[in-house]
Amino acid sequence: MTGNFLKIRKHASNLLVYAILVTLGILWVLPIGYLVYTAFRVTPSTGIINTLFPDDLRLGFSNFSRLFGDTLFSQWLGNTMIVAISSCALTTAFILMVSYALSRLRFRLRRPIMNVLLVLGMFPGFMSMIAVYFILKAMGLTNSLLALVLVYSGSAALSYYICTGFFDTVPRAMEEAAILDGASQPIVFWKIILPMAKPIIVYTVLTSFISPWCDFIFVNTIINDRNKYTVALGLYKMINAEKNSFNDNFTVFCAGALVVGAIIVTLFMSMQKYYVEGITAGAVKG
Amino acid sequence: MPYTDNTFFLYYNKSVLTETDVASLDGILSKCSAGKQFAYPMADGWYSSAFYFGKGLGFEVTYNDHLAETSIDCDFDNATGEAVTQAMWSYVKDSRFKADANDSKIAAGFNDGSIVAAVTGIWNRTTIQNYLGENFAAAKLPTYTLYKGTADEEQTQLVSFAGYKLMGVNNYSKNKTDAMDFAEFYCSRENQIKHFESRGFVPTDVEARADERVQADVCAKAITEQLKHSKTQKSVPSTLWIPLEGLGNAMITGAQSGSFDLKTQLKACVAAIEKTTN
Amino acid sequence: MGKKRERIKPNVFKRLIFAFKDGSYATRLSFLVMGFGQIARGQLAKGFSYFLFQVLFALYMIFFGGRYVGHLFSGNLGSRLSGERWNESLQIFEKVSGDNSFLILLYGVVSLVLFCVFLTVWAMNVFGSYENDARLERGQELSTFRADLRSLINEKFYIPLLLPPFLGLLVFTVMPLIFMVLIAFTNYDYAHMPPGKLFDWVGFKNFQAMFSLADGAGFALVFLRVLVWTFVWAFFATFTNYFLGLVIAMLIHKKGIKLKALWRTLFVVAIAVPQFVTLLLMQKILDGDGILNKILSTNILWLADQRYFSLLPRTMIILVNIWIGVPYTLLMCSGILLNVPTDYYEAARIDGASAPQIFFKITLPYMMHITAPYLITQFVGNINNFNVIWLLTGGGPVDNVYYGGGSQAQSTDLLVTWLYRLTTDQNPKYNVASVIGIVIFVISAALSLITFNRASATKSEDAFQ
Repeated sequence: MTGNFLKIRKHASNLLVYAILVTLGILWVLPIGYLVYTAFRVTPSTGIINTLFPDDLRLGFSNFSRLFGDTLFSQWLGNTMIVAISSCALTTAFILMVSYALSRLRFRLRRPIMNVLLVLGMFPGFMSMIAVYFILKAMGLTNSLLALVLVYSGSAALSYYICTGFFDTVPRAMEEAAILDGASQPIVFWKIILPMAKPIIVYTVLTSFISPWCDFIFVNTIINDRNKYTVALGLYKMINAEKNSFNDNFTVFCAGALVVGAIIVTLFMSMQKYYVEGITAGAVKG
Repeated sequence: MPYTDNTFFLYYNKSVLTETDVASLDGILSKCSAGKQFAYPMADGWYSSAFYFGKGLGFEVTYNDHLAETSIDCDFDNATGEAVTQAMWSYVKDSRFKADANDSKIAAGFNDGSIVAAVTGIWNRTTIQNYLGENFAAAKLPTYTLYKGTADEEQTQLVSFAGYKLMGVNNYSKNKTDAMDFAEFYCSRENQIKHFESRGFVPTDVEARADERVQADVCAKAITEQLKHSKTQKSVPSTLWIPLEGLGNAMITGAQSGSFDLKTQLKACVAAIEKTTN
Repeated sequence: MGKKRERIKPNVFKRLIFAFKDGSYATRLSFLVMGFGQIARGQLAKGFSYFLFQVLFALYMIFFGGRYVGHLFSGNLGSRLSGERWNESLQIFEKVSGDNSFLILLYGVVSLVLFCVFLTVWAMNVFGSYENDARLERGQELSTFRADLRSLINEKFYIPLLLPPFLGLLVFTVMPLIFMVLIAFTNYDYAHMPPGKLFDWVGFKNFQAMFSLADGAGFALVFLRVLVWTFVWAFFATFTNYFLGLVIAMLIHKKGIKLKALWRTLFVVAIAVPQFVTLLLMQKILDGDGILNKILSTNILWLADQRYFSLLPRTMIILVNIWIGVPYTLLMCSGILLNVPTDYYEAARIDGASAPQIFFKITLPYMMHITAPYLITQFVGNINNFNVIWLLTGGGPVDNVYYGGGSQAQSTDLLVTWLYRLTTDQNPKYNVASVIGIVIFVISAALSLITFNRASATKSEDAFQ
């Protein structure tokens, strides 16, 4: 009899868990569902989006055609791609160089440098924003995508700790064997350690690629020309800037949001396993 | 160089409100209901100050030689000011009065019929005209009732801020003379009229305004009327807007529970306005 | 130099003095003329490079930098106001430029930084010459240029590795930071904006204004309120996300629950779209006239109700943050849960422990131990979590009663959103913003250093290697 009782209890508790998961799952997906729904709603002639199921509901793709036709979205997409790829390459290179040097090489200033970098990273990013703007102005670089790339990768060295944590776990034996065989330091770095660090490299590439897609604060300061906006700033200005923009642009905004979301999701899906490995590695050993 | 006025006035739906109705706030509200409201952006200092200016209250700013504000004096919180705020609060409490309005809500409201009258500026003219079509009408700001229910009850005209849209030339620009020529061209009389015809901006140039095309326009009439009851937007303390936004917001949230600590909020608002940092 | 390395390394100044006292005349001369020690010994390429560097730097300082550095220390940041002058030929007023305090400060800082770089290179030059002396004494050959280059790739590989990233860091992080920290000691705000106006040093006046009451002229109360909310927010944001993520992860991974991947995906969908987009979306949904109110037929001002210290907006912010943050903690906890050594569980089961007991005595302590550094970084990060607050409420409803006093702080402001508003407002106050930035730094630094030192005491990197 106890066997049956235990089984019922197990089923009941499982059922409870399912119920909780379903409710929470729906709650979590709801706003995104609203986003998708609005993205496909053709803005009615009245312009009102606030009623959920109005009588004149029409669904269609016109928001997307408006997005790519009327707004500068495709331009912004291109800009963001350029900035993301360049800053991703530069940032990853910088982070790898710094974390490798700080983790595997032994030199006199190692500890002090690590502490200084840690300390520097504790200043809020916005503090230096106007100063950076003026430095860029002195270099004649304001309003340019190059400036964005430089700003995003300039502070790359400050995020060394996750990668360093990972490099710390690589056993020295491989390195020593290679050196005994006559390999120089650069070769050790390039041919031996780097291939082993694939998960963390992918993680770094992912995070540094995604960040220009999501930043609208620095872009706002540095870029004034509408043609040079990134996707983030463009979408932000669509519903937050001009006086009437919310009504006219909300559906187009949702469409744009979907496009960006789709891009990021595909990226994540293809790299999912590396990403999870990356955060757990960084979190556990960081 | 100025080229158009920047003030606000009343837009209304002709089929619901008559000209006599829109002369006073109470008149407007009498024809409104919870589903057909009157919108007034109370949380925006540019609009809410009209109540105070109507009674002649204001502010006084002294500047030093570096053009920094050294002291600000604001008398919104004297006895009259308290009465004005009391009047504002009684309107905000009214369910026919939509106090948390902004441009997009007003446009949306005219569209689906939930707003029949609103106070905003000339830049919304085309959108509202599109939605109201034949029922489009404009007038100067109404009067509001002060000291309601007492022996001193009186009607006070709302006095709006009046500024001008200017075209200015950057002192540091490289082709300064060319820029100044362009500015003169842009703001010339003929171009002001052209501007009016294409976008409905009422010209500042007096002779342009006398042009019959401008004269016939409903908004131009409203603006010209309203300008007689306006306060030039000059020497405004930089600290004016945010505290008034706070005051308006407090009223709007107060309307939900029905309680609003008038004295404290008003005192805090004026204290914030009078705060200079020099 | 070989003998010295075994002992405790004396500091740089002592070594400089020692080099002077103990070095040859060539070394001593290289104190004045960079590169002399190298040239005298035949290391021509190296020596000339040093010398060239010295000449270039001297030229820079004479023609450009020196002036600004002088200004920095002279007690004011420019004294000539700009004005206007009537230009008869062009019939317009022409601007006569005066001193630009901002540029003076900026170039001054740049010059100072360059000066530090110069000092480093100078020290390298002296030590290089001293090293030559030592080698000659021992009868060794002096290293050729080629040998030096090669050492850069081998023993000193860290130099080419670190140089480019640090250069970027110097220009885009260190210099702006030094500059902004200095601004905290000036009165640079909207009333003192170059190029029209000048600003000047005011010492600690800004700090006084921030931290004292000064009969109503100080912001101390406002500052305290913002500070308290910043900590409260960081605490709730971090721990609600963590626990909920953990609980959901455990629910999903419970034995007997099917479709684990499905449940995980449902939650992860919420973070597929970039955070700022979803936040903007939430802002519109939670508006007074937004869709939530329409569905519930209420008109609650979710994000603008400033009663009870803006309790409603603050709660909504934390809730929305849960919506955004739980997927991340869920993923992380899932990953870690999968790796929990099962022997713990088996032992507990053999001993007859019940499910809650297992959770509280085994899973929870294990998770907390593993993720402690993560939690701390999250907490410090949430102190500076700009996006959530700014996009949802913009700092929140204006509250004149508790947040007034000309501070420009609003009721759901974190320190960092207050800082941002001060720099982007119509009437910016950069000096106050810099003071806040320094405060944020001090708090983050204190928190991180305390906790990291405790954490690193329990593990060591080389143990892994």
